[in-house]
Amino acid sequence: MGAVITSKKTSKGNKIKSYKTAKSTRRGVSSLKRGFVILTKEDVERDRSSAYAYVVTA
Amino acid sequence: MGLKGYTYNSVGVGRRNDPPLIKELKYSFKNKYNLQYIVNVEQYEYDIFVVKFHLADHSNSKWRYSHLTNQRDARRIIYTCVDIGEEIHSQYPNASFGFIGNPTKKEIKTKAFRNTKRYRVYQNFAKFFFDPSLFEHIYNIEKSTYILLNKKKIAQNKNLLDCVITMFETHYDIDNIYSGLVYEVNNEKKSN
Repeated sequence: MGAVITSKKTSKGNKIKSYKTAKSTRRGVSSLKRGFVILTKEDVERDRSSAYAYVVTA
Repeated sequence: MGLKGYTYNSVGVGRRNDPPLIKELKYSFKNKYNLQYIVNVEQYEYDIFVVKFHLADHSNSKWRYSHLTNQRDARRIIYTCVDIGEEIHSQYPNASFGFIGNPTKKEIKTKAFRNTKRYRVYQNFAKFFFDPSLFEHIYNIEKSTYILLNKKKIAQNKNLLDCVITMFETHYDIDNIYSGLVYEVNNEKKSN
């Protein structure tokens, strides 16, 4: 339930200590922002009935 | 509902003051197989709490959020995390929550980060346990991410979602969040 923020190596083998140092320089709308969907209350209520079967009997 | 979460203990505070992270609340519990689990709840700005859990035995592993135990005990473990979330919500009435369905090692090998196995499971629990009249349900299937924004907090800040996304993007390289693990997998392949 979560992602590990670890150090990584570039293709040349240089180590970047942390993702925190790798700030985004992208312009415009980010891929993360593009991908978010806000569910309406009705959407959630509808999905809850199928979730119930999963959560209770999984 | 007959099944309940495990009894858990608060085991203190981990990292602190590492912006945007405010602090990391740590909890632990043992499951029916006597395996100890650690739950890390990361508190960020805007009253955002990100819940993560892993086996205590895997604490020092880079793969701690990717391992599967295959003990068919996930439901009760997730119930426990929900209980912890409810406790946090009672302490912080404006709390919002988020989680990432971390890819399994197999999914990392195939770079299948979209709609991961864990995400497909966890989002059912989020929809079931978090009342949509109290929380705005927001998901990103590409990133296997789910956010539950507290409507009280949204009333204070109409641009809360944008603020939260910007906060994480400013500090973390979201698009390459698993590249360290992909690198490890590729190295494993080469050494085999």
